[in-house]
Amino acid sequence: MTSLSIDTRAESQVPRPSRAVPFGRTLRSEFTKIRSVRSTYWSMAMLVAVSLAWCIAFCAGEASRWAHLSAQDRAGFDATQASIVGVALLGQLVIAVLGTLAITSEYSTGMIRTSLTVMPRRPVMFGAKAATFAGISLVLGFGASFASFFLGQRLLASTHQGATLGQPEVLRAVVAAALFVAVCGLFAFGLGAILRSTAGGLTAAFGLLFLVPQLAKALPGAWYADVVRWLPGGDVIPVITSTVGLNNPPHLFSAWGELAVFAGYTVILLAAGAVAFSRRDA
Amino acid sequence: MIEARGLVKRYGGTAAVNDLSFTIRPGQVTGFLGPNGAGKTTTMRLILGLDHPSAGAVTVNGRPYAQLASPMHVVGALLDAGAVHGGRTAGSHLLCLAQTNGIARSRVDEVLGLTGLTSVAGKRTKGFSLGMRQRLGIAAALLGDPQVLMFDEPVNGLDPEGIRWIRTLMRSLAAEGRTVLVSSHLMSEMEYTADHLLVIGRGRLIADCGMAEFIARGSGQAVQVRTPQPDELTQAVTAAGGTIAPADDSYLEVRGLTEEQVSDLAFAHGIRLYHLAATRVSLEHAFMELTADSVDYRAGQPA
Repeated sequence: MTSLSIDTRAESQVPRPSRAVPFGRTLRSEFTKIRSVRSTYWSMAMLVAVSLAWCIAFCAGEASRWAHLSAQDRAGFDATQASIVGVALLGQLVIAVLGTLAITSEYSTGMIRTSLTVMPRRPVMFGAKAATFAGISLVLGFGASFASFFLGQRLLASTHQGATLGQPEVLRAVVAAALFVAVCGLFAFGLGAILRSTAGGLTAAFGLLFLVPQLAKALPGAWYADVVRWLPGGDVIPVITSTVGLNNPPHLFSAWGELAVFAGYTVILLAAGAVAFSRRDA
Repeated sequence: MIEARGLVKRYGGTAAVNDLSFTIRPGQVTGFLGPNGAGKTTTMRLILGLDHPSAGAVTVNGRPYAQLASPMHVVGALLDAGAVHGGRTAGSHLLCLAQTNGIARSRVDEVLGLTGLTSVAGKRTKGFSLGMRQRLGIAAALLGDPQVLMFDEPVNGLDPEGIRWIRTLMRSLAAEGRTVLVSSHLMSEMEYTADHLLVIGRGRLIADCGMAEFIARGSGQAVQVRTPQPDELTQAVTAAGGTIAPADDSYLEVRGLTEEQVSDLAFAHGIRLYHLAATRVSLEHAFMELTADSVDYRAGQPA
């Protein structure tokens, strides 16, 4: 004999917040979401792993060849860039996947309907989601960049060319590589919000970052020189990771300038994503 | 209390919901019926602000849903049991929902217990059966201890025990004075559960009335009889103002007269009856009659 009624009332007092602070609460919820799925940890481990793998291969390789290098090659060697360029070069691939999935997985699983039912204030939801992802990608970017830098310098010790953070431009390069990773993730996040599809978001992100700069090279030389500095991908990475300036391609802004252009595009995509997220039927 | 006024939702050129107005009152279970594609789910999505109406408005407790800062304390909804991230555990899923509304972790454990999911709280929902997902969706709806509950096809995929559990739950929720709106295709289930009916077809309101009234709106009461003297009975019934028509096998169906009247008539004319019974018109029968014109996808007649 089962009882004829089910008491659904809360035994514990369910708090009814009078002074609602939806953003803080949604931020906590978004953090719970991102830390409670395994793919987050896989992607984070992958990002750090590929950064360090590049660093080891590049720096250990240089160190072993050092004795046979010409004086000119030795002068052009940038120990900082050698250790951290992989963070930006390979890390952008991983963080773009993570950024796209951060928003599109809500759509592919249908979770978005549940999420928006419990938090119908869509700009709040979008902001909390973007802020949570931004926080995680900053931690990841800085972690991978500094870890790669220190590991790389240790591997290059035998060359006596190792860099320290106190040298000019070195800290700037390490920080810029970390920020580049975070901006890249948010760039993909914005595209994911606009396109609402994992495949679409990734195709658009990689297309804009890799394909468009290649296509731009087909432009007549003078046009290319005018256009190239305004492209989101392309030659940004050598510029922001370089400390000596010798490797800088012409026609580009400074490291901060290039990063600012990329961040500008990202802000535009995030704004468009926020509008789309708020206006469209879920 | 849910109030819709002149609600319209168009997708492209077609209106999924067309000028719908209704009020769903507390303290009773309102059954939401309609053929496939009638607009039931769309209406529920409009109530929850997931879709924006093309015209009209709908409010929950007097306010548009999107303006609620802590909607889980006002409305609990189960629209689609599949709308979860399969990689997340049941406990984490409920926790991330609870946190958006400032609901304590202890309430998460409480609703897990209430829905019988405590033992699988740490399991990822990917491996859940449809029945377990339905329970998880119901657990989520109950988190904020809300006054209004909405369930879209809640008994889908449940075994008989689960169906009984849902039925008892709905009745209990309404008995506690809450507003309960539940959609279903299963008419027999609705007959057990609902007090009030909201029936739509092709996005338009067909009926908004009590269960008994809805059934009465159908072709009404009929009396089934079997007799070796069908011609005499037909004459007598027609003379008394009733109608008579052959039904299944050798039965006849009398309309417009009560059981007693048919019995008296037969007795007065010396007509022998082998069988005499009033047939109860089921909700399903009444529903089929009233929505016959508004079925979008009809099964073909076998040749």
